[in-house]
Amino acid sequence: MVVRELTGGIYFGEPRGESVMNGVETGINTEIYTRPEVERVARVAFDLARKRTRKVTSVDKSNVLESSVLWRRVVSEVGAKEYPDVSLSHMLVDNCAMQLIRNPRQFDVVVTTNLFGDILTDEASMITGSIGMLPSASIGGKVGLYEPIHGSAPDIAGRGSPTHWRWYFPSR
Amino acid sequence: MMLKYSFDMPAESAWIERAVARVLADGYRTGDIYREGEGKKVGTTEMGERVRDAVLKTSSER
Repeated sequence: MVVRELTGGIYFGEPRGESVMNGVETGINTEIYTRPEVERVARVAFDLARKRTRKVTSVDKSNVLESSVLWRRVVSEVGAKEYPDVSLSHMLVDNCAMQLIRNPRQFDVVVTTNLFGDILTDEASMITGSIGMLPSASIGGKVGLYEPIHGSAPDIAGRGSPTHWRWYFPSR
Repeated sequence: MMLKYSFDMPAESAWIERAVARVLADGYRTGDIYREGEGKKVGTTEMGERVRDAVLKTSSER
């Protein structure tokens, strides 16, 4: 199961935008995470792990990105202080992309940033044979919005095409 | 997933997972996971009905 941070990171960070700088067309986005954002998503992952095999892998790019250095440190602290019964390991995202193909069973709960989670969840879905096999939920506080990972595809509703029945599928 | 993690209903969650596994084991496939010569290709309506029936069956078993 992948826990993807959904409301922060490079998809929302400022500054962002397109401009011309020194006569050169330039596009900017900002990968930014704060301690409370990382603590929040870490707790979601650790809580889920307690209902499964008590094993969390946190995925980042801390060899290059300062936002990932913070991410790794905060996830480690939350784990050590609040969830000593859950085992935690860290993995760089490029290695994780390989390991998901090489040996997906080594993972149980993966927690990662918005950008990395966007990509890794699509990669992981193919291991099951079809993205339609997977459920997803947006969790915020006490609210969970469950839906098919691929959206509801209203354009093909009623045709009996594969998309509408599978939202309740096993998560691994 | 919803039953297990949001509602704390692991037994009911397991009924659904077992029902899905059973229907797949019986050879039924929707188009996205169907391969030529493997099992029987069905539409989503039929697949949904088969899963529902299997849930009713597995939920009455121990």
